[in-house]
Amino acid sequence: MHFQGSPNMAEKRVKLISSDNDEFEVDEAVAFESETLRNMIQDTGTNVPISIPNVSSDILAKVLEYCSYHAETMETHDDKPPITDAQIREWDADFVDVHPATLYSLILAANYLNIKNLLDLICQAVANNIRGKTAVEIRKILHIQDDFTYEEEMEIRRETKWAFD
Amino acid sequence: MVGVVSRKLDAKLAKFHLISSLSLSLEEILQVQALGLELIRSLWHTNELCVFYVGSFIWDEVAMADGCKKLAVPKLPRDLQHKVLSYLPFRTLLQARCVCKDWRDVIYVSDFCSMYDELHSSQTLVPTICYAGSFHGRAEVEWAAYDCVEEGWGKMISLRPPYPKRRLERNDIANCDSVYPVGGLLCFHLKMGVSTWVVWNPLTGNWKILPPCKLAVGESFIYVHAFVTDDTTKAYKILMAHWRAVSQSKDYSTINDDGPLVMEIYDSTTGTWSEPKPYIFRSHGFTWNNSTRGGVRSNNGVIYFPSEMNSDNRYQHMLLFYDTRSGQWHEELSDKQRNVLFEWDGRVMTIERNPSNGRFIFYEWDEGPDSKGWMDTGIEVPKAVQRKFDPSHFGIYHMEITAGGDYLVMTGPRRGGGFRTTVYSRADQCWRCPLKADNFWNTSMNGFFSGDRINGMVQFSPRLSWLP
Repeated sequence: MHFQGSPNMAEKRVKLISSDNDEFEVDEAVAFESETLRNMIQDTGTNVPISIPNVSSDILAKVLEYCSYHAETMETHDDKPPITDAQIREWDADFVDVHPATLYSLILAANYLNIKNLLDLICQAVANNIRGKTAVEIRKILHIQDDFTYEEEMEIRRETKWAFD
Repeated sequence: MVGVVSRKLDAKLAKFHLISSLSLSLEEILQVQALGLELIRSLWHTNELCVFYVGSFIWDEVAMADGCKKLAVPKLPRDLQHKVLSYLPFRTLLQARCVCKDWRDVIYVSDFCSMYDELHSSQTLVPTICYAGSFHGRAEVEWAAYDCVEEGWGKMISLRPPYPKRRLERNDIANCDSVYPVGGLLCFHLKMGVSTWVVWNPLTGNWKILPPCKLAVGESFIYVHAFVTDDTTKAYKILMAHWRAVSQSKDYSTINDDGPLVMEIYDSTTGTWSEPKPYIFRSHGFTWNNSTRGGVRSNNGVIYFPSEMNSDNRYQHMLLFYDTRSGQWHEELSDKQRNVLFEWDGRVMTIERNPSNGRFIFYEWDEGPDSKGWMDTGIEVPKAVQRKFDPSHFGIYHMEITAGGDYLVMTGPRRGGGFRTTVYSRADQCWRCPLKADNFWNTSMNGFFSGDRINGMVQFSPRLSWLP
């Protein structure tokens, strides 16, 4: 799987290896969206493939899709009008319109790869996801253990009982 | 214990096989990760076929896969859970407290509170919270927040100061409108035998009884306003100004209030009340206050109180100002009756009926170097909207109006009884009467809610990090 950045930018390419041994090749600028990768590249250079053992290929592909788009928005082209903030927001909204399970994996990946904007975006999407959900549903989405005793649960339910119209 | 699986890549179906399990707890693995990639790599090579830390799992399928029931999907680290929570609107945040112990207690974690407040402070959608105590004395004081996006009120049963009997009744409130918002807090003037101030953060439930003040309940008309003095340190003051009644009568109409205005100011940084020098009125005559919300504060630090004066049997409307910077009082005659004051982005505004066509118009107090007076804002309630409200002359004085950011919310008695809410959006320059909001007043609030006005609708920005 290869991500083609814009040709005029293609100076240095970086090879990334996902947890399931898929190889990805991206522009350095794309990889630099991730603080973690930036640090690694600065340490080891671009010659050595970088393995990312805790991100699978489907998730890594998604993350790199985000990084390429956002790296691209930073560039200026003479022949194309600059991408507006509204366009970026729209793109981002489409990007996070995925299954909650994928979002969950994306949070972990964005956190590990330290891509702040992506992490913010996804946390917000997850928050939107759990709005209006019951506690049971939220626990399922976010893999959270119910650690209340029966009495504690009743107490907190009483306290947070809301009557919505 | 973490299940270890190998994942066979199949384009159509991801299959998981539980092949062994590592006796490492998730926390340990996450710690290992924190130690560095090298360690991970070494672990990786010892378990070549194993994928032990996600990113890759389609967890629904994992959960369904036979024999994989015990497979733990890594927990979201606590800081990430908190990050997700910080994006929730406050009502949802409070509901989410039922999820687990950590979430229940998150509103007491100061780092989280600051993060949450910072993220939400720029929001223009300020929820409006009101206490809707009817004139029925035993009725419980009820709480509701208006959500300008969802266009509806949410009743908030749980917001109840636990003082002193876990049920706050209309009878416990000292004056008509004794709820004053300040920062992320609400101040109540209660009468629990004596005049008592309780400051409460309705989100966290933290509350504090202030030290006693000198003013007794029912002693006199009072002007009250609570204001923030320092946003960063979350310091505030409560100003109370009143006349010491000459008459012993508790009947307001017989109080002869022409003496000096006595002040008491509570300062949250010292936790004490102080008594600055009383103010002697320039205008002579019987003065009283008709304030509905205890004054409003403009962005130049001046608090405005609507007031009235009777001089030689002539009634005159006036505005009383208190300058929080200089500590000086001023009086100004006002051309018409303005006892519905509210603040919108630091500007002092009022509503009045246009004498020629009867329409409601909004005015703004303008204080230029040469002139002072009310200026027409050009905002007018459309006929179709106004028709939904009580057409009687007094209808307008029973309106409760608050505004913040893009929205102005007006609630008042409606034609034929009950209440209704209308919302003006400055961005769209249009008025709406959301049906949901309408139904709320007439179905969700309790049956006692039948007074002729809603008391104390205030604009309030819930903030977790404000401590009473």
